[in-house]
Amino acid sequence: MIPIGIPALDDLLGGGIPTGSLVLVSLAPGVEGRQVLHSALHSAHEQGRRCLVIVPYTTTNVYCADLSGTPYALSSEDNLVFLDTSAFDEVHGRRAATPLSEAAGWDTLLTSLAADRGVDTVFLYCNRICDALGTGEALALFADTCRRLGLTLFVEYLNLYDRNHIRELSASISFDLVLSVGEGFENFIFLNHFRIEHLKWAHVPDIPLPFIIRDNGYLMPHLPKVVVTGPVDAGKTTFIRTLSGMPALSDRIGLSGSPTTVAMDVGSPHVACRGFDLTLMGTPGQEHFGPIIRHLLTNATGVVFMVDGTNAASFGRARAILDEVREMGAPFVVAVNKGDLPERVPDHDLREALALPEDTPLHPFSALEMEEAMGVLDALVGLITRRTDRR
Amino acid sequence: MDQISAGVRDIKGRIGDIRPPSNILLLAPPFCDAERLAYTLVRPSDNDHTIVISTDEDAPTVYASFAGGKVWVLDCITKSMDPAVADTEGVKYVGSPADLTGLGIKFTKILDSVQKSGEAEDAAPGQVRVCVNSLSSFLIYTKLEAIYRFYHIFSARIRRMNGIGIYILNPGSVDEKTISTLKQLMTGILKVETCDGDPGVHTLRYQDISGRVSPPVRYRFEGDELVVDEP
Repeated sequence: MIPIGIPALDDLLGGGIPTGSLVLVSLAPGVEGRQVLHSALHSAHEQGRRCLVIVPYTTTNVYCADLSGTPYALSSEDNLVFLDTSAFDEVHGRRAATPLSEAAGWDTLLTSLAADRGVDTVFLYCNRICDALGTGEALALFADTCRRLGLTLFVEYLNLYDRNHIRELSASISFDLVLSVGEGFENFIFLNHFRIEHLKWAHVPDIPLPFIIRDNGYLMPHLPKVVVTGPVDAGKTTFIRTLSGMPALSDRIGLSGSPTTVAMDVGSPHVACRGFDLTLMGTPGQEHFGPIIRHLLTNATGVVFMVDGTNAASFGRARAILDEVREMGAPFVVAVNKGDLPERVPDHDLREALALPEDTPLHPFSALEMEEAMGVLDALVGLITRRTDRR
Repeated sequence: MDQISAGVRDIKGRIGDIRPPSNILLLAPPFCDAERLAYTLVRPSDNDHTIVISTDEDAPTVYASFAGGKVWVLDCITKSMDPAVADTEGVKYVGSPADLTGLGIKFTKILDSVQKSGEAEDAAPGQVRVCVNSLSSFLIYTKLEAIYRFYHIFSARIRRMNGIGIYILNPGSVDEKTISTLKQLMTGILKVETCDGDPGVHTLRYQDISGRVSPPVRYRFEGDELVVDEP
């Protein structure tokens, strides 16, 4: 297994890429997603695999310089073979070169490097070769050769067409994983997303998952708006404080004598769960903040709906907020705070009060306990990344 | 600033306004000062931003052609000679014109910087002017179909942000099919010719999307200034 090195993605893939697999990574123009192949190369190299990097668009020095100073910099030149623009020119620029002769040239090169240098993993930046041979022909050539030789193949492809083009390629060439990287995520136009278009060895829903590129060049999957809502004094602010450490909170002492949120709580952007960065936003809970709650729920990537499991008097207000959550359509988990206390209302009564069907899991926990709070978040991220009802 | 007139008032008066959004193919043979003409056309006014994608000149040379203003350069040649050269706020590098993936990513980064720059200054949004110097070089590395597809997306971005794009192409380096294919992406064509027996003097004509062709305009450069000859 070769991890891609992006934990959220590896988690979805069941740990990474089985050796001998064929992987196509399709990038939309202008979208920063080169980190996927960079990360996979870094990961394979760290595993001690013998990697061939075919990079026809530039020189080896430029390619390595681009990696240096990023989290994907290669630690040594051991076990690395490069075929760069000069190799491309040699194959493509031969007098009387034809697509057939060029295809034979690449096949011979790969076969000899596998035999002589023990190359077992190939990283191909294919666009120039696709330009020379034809896209389908070039991808089929490398896929067939790697399959025959038992090599793992990672391909980066700049898709100048649309999603149908990738679907057609995926249907005609037997890639084991097809991953697309595209622009935007729902209403968050400043984010980009990746999407597993095809996966042979497991079932993963075909949904876009957003990511950001950090200043150091690291690709970080990112859930931009996880809303924590529920009635007043449910423990929302405590939950955010426990998880984030340094939250920007907007609580004031309320009528009950305890702090209550009067606008919105924002968790640190570096709450991490299942390889995702999450931004937590806590809503106030009182009835008169109803319009604000609805506003804050708009475009939520996911919702932690929280209720104090010992406070049956709050269930009526909880039901009203939960109805809003359901109406907005975002995936949600039901977190039952103070779930560790003996006076907790039985699940059956809570389900009845909130009109929750039996197949909606309840997550009893304590908002004061990091591990338990993280368990709630983990359940939500699992729901967001694996649900099948959203395209 | 809603029309392309900076520095070329006389040309504007003769060929009419070129209003954004526009994508203009600048057809110019070698030794016609095509870069200088293009740089003059995209020279930024007060709040405007100019982005030059250069396959023919390095970033310092491009900067030297502009007397200040907000100019951003996507340099496609320096990195092949100096692999360690690092991106700066105003200059981004790609390894070669063959790297369309890198080019698209760096162009997006520049647009992000342009947007942030506008937000930081709290200024009225200026116009974005882009010069691609040159399509001829891109066509050396990549076949027409891919170039067409890439610039189809690229020119659409310029349209969406109400910008102006000038794309230099040497018509002598490509066939008629290439020119007519690339024309499909454009809203106008500037055609430059040399004037026989009059070194340094050139003639341009502008053809807009409706097919209307302007009268010929004779021009030359005196220092950095474009001077239009009286008819």
